[in-house]
Amino acid sequence: MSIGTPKQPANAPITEAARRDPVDPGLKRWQIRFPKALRTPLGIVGAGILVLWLIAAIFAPLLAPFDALAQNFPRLSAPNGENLLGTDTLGRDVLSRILVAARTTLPAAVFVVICSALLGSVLGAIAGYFGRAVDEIIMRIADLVFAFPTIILAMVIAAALGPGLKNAIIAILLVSWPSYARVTRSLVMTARGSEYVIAGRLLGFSAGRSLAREIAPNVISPVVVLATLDVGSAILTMAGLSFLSLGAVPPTPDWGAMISEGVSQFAAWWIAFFPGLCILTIVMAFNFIGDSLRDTLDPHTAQEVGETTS
Amino acid sequence: MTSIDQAPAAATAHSPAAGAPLLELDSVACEYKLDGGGRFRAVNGVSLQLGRSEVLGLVGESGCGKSTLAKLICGLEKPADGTVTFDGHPVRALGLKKRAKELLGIQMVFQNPYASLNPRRRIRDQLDDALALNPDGGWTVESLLDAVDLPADSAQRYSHSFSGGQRQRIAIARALAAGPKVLVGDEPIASLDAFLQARIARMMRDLAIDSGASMIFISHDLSVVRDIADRVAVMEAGRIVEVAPTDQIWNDPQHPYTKKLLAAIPQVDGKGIIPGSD
Amino acid sequence: MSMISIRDLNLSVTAGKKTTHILKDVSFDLEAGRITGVAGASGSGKTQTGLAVMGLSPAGAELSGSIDFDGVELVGMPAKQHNRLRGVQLSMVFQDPASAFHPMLTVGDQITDHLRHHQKVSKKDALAKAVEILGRTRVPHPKEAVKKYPHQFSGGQLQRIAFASAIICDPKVLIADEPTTALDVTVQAGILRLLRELCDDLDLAVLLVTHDFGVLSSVADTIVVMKNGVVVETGEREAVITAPQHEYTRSLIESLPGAEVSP
Repeated sequence: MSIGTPKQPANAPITEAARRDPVDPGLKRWQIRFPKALRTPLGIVGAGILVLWLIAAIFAPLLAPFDALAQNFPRLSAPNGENLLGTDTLGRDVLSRILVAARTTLPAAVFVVICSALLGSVLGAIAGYFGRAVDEIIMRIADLVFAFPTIILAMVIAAALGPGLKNAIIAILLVSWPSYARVTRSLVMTARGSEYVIAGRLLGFSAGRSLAREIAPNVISPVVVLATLDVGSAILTMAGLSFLSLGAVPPTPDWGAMISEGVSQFAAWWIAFFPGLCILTIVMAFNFIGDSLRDTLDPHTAQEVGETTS
Repeated sequence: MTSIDQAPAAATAHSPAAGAPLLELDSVACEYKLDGGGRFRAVNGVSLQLGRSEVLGLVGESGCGKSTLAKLICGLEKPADGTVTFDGHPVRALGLKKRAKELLGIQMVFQNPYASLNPRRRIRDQLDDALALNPDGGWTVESLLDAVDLPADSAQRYSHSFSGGQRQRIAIARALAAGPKVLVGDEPIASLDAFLQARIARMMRDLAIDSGASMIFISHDLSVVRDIADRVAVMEAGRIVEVAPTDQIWNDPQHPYTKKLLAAIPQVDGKGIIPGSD
Repeated sequence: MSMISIRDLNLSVTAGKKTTHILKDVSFDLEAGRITGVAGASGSGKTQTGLAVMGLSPAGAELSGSIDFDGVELVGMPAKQHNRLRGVQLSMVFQDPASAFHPMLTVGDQITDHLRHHQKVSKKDALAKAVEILGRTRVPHPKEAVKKYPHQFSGGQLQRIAFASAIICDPKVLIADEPTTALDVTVQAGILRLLRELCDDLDLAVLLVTHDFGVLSSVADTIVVMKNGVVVETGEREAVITAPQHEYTRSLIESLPGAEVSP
């Protein structure tokens, strides 16, 4: 069977000039380079803060001036030369406790977000692609979860499962997956009708392959952005649960638990203030990063740049 | 408005090629449910035949059902009535399973070049997917890009770095790579600048015919269809009102709607005459 | 006497360190009672030229040169002042009629809204004028039309309503950006006829932006051909189409099916 040498279009010469399309202008170079150039100042700040915290968490045992569990110091002493951030009701150094707490909080938050993103996305993709009964079932369960305020539902689940970090993680996982499911479902539903997906089906792709190979790459970016922004919420929810004694078990240091303790010792403001400040900085850092990622990865922004102007 | 019983014989013109037609539509109809209840027949009793190595132009204005007809041909919609047969096989609607092997010979080029390519996969990967269907066809990614007048380094890039016209050419290359017997173009040039339209249409026609395929070219632009089609079918309100060889449609149109369409084409003669004015 | 004189118009956009020149030394005139067609491919700058006249250049764009509108300089005019001209003396009609209108307001509301914004007219009088203008643009049943919503009209009718909205304040300049591209060919002729009538009857200076030479051949008096932000050819319609001087114009016309160009 012949390759089928194509006849040249009647009015275009076979030259490099033709390849460069005298009539079809293509995209200007500036329009292509644009996405790579974007790096927002806020994103850099967020990333910087996160890196600092990662270092703090990894090297906590080395950085912490004292043992986080040791009750050596005069109780409730204000920040001073020895205890830079003061001591708590049991005479433990606040600074050391904060640093060690980062070692549990950060990984736990990231872990729970990754798990809920995975669970939610897979369920959402299945709902979006196959539709009908499967869609109804998954979305109604999601609606059920959405009906309750997050922290209340997390509380109920954690209380039912019992105290402990593991149970707190499970509780947060169960309340977080629906947001991802909803987002993924609508992304998949949009992609499902796109011409490139149909083209794939005409080329013999099965529904499953279409979902995994064609649609998934388009869904990942928005989900990553959502997940990044969600880490902040996860940390807050975990702190909330710990505040209510439903999270990490004492004496393990935990920011939420420290705030809880600080509330009952209002005069000793440093006990609640510094852990609160830590939560603030980390949540802000993740939010900045998430916003910056959204700007660079959002297909709409990227596509806007790709269109020609006339 | 226009009478449809004026062209009963023409509507099922014999295909010029000998033997059974490559693609046959027999009284095909397609219905959509309307919001307020009731049904809308987008395609209403269409019979068409497509022979081998033939280009059939399908013209009509927006809302006449030509896109729905394209979807029926490819099996993307289920006919409410009638049958679609490709190379002797019935065309079944596409479900969740893989496309039936015998139907892989039908490929489509879509209207919207900005949605025809996966934005997150390289051009090479998308062309390879199509080449996998037709390993003995003799095409390679490089030869495909060459055939559509794009530089070889396009393979490494993503779709967003290409203009509409270039993306459409890539879409054509992908459809060709699969070695189709029937290439359906659903208004493939409508989103392009006027200057590119004829060129891309001719490119599609040449590539299709040279690789032994037939083409159904759907368009609302008659001048371009005249340029590339062997036969033309005119569609109005879900029905085919006239089918004839291209020259005949132009020189001796039978149906009032065909005449109306032809009269509306502006002549590029610089005379400042608006079509339809005397 | 030129209504609009564009001289050495330059438009550039700076993003980060990159500066892109969208328009380079563009010069041509718009005359009252004549339709000037601007032709070019996507990216040629034809739409940006029209937007520059309207004062709608992209944010952060630098515009230099001169756009003289009946003695008034438009380049560098403060936005507030340009605002007062827009819709009143300078008006524009866009490609997609469906997205030119608010889907939840009646057509009458939308047309009279901007009339009443610019001129102190009572609601009743504004509505009467709207009905009159709709009649002028041949929208069927104008009295009922003002009470309807955009989705109840076809593409062609909506475009007529868009024209009505554009001329209701008696502008001097009308910029039509691909007004028939989204319409069927049988509807196109009617809109082109309307454009011609409005231009003749109201003595408008019309800038018609399009990539379709068929449209230009039907209604343009003068044709300006643009490529990559530069004007490559200007001339009377018949001359440009049948005997183009510039190679680019020639290649554009030759690329049309069935067009014949004299050597």
